[in-house]
Amino acid sequence: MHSVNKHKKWWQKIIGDKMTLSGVFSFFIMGLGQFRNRQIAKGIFFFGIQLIYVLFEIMTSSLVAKVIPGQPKAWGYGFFRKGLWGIYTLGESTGGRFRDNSTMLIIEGLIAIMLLLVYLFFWIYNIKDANNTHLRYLETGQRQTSKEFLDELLEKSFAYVIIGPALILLMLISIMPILFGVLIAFTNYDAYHLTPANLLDWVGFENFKKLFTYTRWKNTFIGVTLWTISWATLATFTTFFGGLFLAIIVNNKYVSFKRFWRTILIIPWAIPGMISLLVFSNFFNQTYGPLNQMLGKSIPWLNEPMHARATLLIINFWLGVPYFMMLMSGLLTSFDKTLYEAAKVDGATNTQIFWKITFPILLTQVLPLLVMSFAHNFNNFGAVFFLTNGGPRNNNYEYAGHTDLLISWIYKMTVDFKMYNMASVMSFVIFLIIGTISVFNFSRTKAFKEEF
Amino acid sequence: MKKFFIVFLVFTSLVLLVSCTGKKKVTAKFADDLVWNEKKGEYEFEKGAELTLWTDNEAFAEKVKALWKAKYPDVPLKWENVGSVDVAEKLKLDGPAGLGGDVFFIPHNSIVDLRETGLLFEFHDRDAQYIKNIMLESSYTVTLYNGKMYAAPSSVENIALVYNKQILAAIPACETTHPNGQNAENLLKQVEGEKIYLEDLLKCVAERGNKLPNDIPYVADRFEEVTNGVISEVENKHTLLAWQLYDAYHNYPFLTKYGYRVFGPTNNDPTKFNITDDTVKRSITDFTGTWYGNKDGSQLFPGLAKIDDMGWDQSVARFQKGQVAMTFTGPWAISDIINNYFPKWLEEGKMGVTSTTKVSDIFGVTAIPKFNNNVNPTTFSGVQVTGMNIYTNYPNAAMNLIRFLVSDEVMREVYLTLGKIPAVADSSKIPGLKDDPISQGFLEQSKFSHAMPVIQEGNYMWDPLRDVWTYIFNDKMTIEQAQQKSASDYQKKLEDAGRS
Repeated sequence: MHSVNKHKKWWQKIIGDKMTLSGVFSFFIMGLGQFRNRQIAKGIFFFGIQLIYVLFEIMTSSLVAKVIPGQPKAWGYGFFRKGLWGIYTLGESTGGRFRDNSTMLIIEGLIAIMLLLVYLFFWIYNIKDANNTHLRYLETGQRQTSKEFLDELLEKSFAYVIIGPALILLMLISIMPILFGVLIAFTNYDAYHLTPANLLDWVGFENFKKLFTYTRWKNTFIGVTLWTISWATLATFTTFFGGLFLAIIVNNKYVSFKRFWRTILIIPWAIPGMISLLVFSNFFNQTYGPLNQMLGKSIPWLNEPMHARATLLIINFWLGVPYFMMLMSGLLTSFDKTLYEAAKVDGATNTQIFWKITFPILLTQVLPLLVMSFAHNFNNFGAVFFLTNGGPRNNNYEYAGHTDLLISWIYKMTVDFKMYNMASVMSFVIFLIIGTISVFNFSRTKAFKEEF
Repeated sequence: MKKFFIVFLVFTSLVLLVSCTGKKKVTAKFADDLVWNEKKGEYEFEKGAELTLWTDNEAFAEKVKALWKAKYPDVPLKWENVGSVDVAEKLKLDGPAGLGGDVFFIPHNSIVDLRETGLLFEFHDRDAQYIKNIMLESSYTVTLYNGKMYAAPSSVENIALVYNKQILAAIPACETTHPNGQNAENLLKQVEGEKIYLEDLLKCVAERGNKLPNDIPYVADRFEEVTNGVISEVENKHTLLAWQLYDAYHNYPFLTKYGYRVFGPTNNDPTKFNITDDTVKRSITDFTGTWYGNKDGSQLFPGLAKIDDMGWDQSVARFQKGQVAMTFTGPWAISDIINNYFPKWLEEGKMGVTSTTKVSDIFGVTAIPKFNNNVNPTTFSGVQVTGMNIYTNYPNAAMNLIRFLVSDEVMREVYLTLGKIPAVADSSKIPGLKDDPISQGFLEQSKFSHAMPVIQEGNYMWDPLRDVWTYIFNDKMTIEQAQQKSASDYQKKLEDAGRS
């Protein structure tokens, strides 16, 4: 405002240029400094926020809320205190009538912390505002009315004001569950510590240590991760280029009955993938499968590690190609024909036209989809679960077979063996891998760059 | 100012929204919350009690609701459609939040899960005794843990020998050492009259290449490719006897010849997995010769590449189509036939089915044949039970509902509407059950069934128990090696699961 930004100290950016008496007033009671600055409506707003929080805390505490006779002390805490207490201790009473439920306490604690962060934001903003208004008054002798302030605020940061509530909802609906999942990775939530019968404990990095130091876990983790990455890469590229190939062939001017071919080729996509996969698992059965009977051979399609992996890729190809084919067909028909004509005039061959014109344009447009397809294949639970269920078995792995992806491994750990803590560690790792790759690739795609 | 107010209102409503989601406090209930009324022989209903029942069969739920209304018109009962296998997961969230059903149907393996999670109400001894008096022993032991009862059995199921009468009647009798089985006309008489030992049956099947002869009735109705009355070689593979091999539940009986029981006599001692036991070794040895062998030497399943290849689709599903003569399976396979296959055959006039043919004219069920040491193979019994949510608001009313659900009137509906075998000790109370040969067949084997473990380790036993066979068949290990490997698998699982 009146001093140059870059000379400000860090705290000046947070609470305003100087701590004034108004700021001190607002420090203790929100809105009080604004009242002192004669900005009544703004003061009421800040005070109202504080009032809501304080009232909410009181209303939910044993001072007002119903008390069940004999309940533990912590059950009488208000919402925020209970939340903080819960996430710190993960509960104290177990077994009896009044059981603390550690998982619920984590969730409540997260909600409390998030709401308190919102409160913290307003509290700091309220101090800053009190200081700055006061300083400006000292400097210019003018008081900004609440209405003027509001107009200025809405003009300067209208977007933030409007998305504010949505941001808070997003925090609760989307960020909170993710944080919950991450926090579980730091507890001992397994088959012998189930809530609410038992209390959980924070165990720090124990589970991560287990994953990276225990030989059995480490081997499985490395093996499954390598396969997952190669699977995701191969699956994405085969379907992508397969789709491209088919699209180009179908769109070729020498091909007649274009619609017919397109319909035929789209059929695998129209059948629910799960059903096709279940049918395929019988089709490729080594002893009874129609395929081996037809060939008169005994090929271990799904029974040997390498065969099974190849089969999986082939079937995924069958399932995934129509999508890319349709996509590319659509894009190809929308291309500017003059480009081709110009190239022809210049004497370009068909191969040159494809690699120098068609492919680069196509790639720019579908690259974000390619990244998404990679992420999808990385977590392609259905293909593995319904076709091989991770098999064939690998005796050196923990709860995983040769074709298990990280995601199906996690599924087995949680559903079959209730190792929620380890599964959570794994999800966290997957998140890191996928997140890094996706962000890196997305930010390098032209489609992304052009948008921003 | 208007904009300002809108923003303010949105924030306020947000905070209110959060406060609404703040859950109400619910407390766990215990047996001392119950008030027994000796005169009426029931618990005192709470004032304003309302009950919710979780079940997944609409027809059954409506019947139960009507019966309940007739008996207790003042206590409203509603039902919600929750699949019995989904109850455990759903209740973990809904229970402590006070939203769960008061009473629910669950399969026996959910008992472990829910009890360990602390969500099952522990019954008063009065109710435990009441249930013990009227229900099958093998059914209620599933619900016991440390002498306390956590659920009430509703229906039972176990596997037995299920066979196709039409085919077996056309197959000549097998050689057997059984004293009564020497002069039987055909295999059907031997199987039905329990005149053959299991070893003899398997040996005989192996000697005949596990193939059907071509002169069985309705050959053309059964198989796709029949030329001049000869079944194609591709289809006539493992057709005399086939069952779900890659599954511990179906293979368990073959371990029990010399008295092996997983987790000891009570089935609940986690230190007694005992797969390396000598009794197991002897039992397996008696079968691996002609039975599994390993994959090159198997006479019973010649050409079976991997044990994993034989799943439901390759065994039971083929049996249901009438392609396989015998299988080990449970009542679910038969109800599938009744609902899906039989009406189709009637319509198309296949398998000689006419409007007067009953399913039991074609399919039969009997206990798995005895071992040649005169011991009956032991199977696991599966039980559908009713449990009570520990976070219910009306423990007395809910307990009355549990007692009502084991009463004769509801048990009748379990049989008539659900088509399941009620877990009652005295089956004469269920009209029609006595004359139902299929249910009686399964009940016969249920005498030699024991409850599945109700400890957390029960979840970890399945893979090692199955893999004893897998290691022998697929990986060509010796029996001892397979036993060792299976035992160490089990140990590893315990460690990883957090058991110290």
